[in-house]
Amino acid sequence: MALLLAAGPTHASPALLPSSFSMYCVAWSYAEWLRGRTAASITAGALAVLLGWPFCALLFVPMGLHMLVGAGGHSTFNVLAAGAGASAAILGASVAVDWFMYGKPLLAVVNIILYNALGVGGDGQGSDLYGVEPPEWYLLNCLLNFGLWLPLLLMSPVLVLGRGIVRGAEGGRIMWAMLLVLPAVGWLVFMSGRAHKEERFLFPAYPLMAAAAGASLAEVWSLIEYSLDGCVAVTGQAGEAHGVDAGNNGMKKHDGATSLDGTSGE
Amino acid sequence: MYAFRSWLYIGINSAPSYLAVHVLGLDKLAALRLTQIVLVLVATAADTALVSAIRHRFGWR
Repeated sequence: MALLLAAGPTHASPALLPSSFSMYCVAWSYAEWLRGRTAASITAGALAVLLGWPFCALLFVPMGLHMLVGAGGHSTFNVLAAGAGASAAILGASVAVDWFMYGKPLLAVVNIILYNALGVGGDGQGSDLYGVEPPEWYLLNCLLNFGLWLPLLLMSPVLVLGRGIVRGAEGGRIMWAMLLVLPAVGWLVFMSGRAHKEERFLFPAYPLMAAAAGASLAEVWSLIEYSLDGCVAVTGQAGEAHGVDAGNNGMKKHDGATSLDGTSGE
Repeated sequence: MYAFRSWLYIGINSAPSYLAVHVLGLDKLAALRLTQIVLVLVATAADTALVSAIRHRFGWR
């Protein structure tokens, strides 16, 4: 719903930018990670970072650490082997073509980081040369691009973690959920700390931001159903006290409302 | 921009337009629109894969 209704992902998709390419690959990589397919996940991540936009590597840090420790059915050896293989293939092609065209060996992805993040080359200003914006710029931008999904996105770590603990969800499931929502919020915080800001810098995180907002909505919806069930239970007990058959309405376990941590709202 | 990256993005962004102009016989504006539709479909496929994986992992409705 968030992906369909928010303006941001819609206009980011056909933007003809490396950030858009990274966005497709981030969604693909996370999908494969959630399904436990190590090689496909690593390959998609390597494409996003090495061919798309190198700074989106930060989005993969929590997921990468999770795979490296061998959690979720991923094997550490497979992670390292897939990472080395995918990086070698992509960087090999990139270096070979650029070497041929420019007559000297160079790594485009390293030069992008050196210039934009470290200010190496040019006049030392790096990307700040193209303008700086205040820290709240991305929040205002996301208000336009995500609308009412933005507050849900910002609340997602607290809601997912809090509801998971309160309802006694299995630790592993909470971790999976947190690893999905944390990079989205972390990306927003990290990019807000950078002086130079552009809307396209958020594109790679859009699928995760939508997923985090969706997780929040599921938790809020579950809370509402839990509260309504509580009200019906109280009313039912009062009815029984007055000789009215309250049936199962008050105590029924609704089977539909399943939140991201996998617990239902009983 | 560097040679390899230029080729990659020119390829991704112009291949549908090229095919639309030279194979389907569309004008350039229609070809650009078709390219954008193709890219939206690619993004939709990636997003659908993510949503499907979330449902698979969490049993999420």
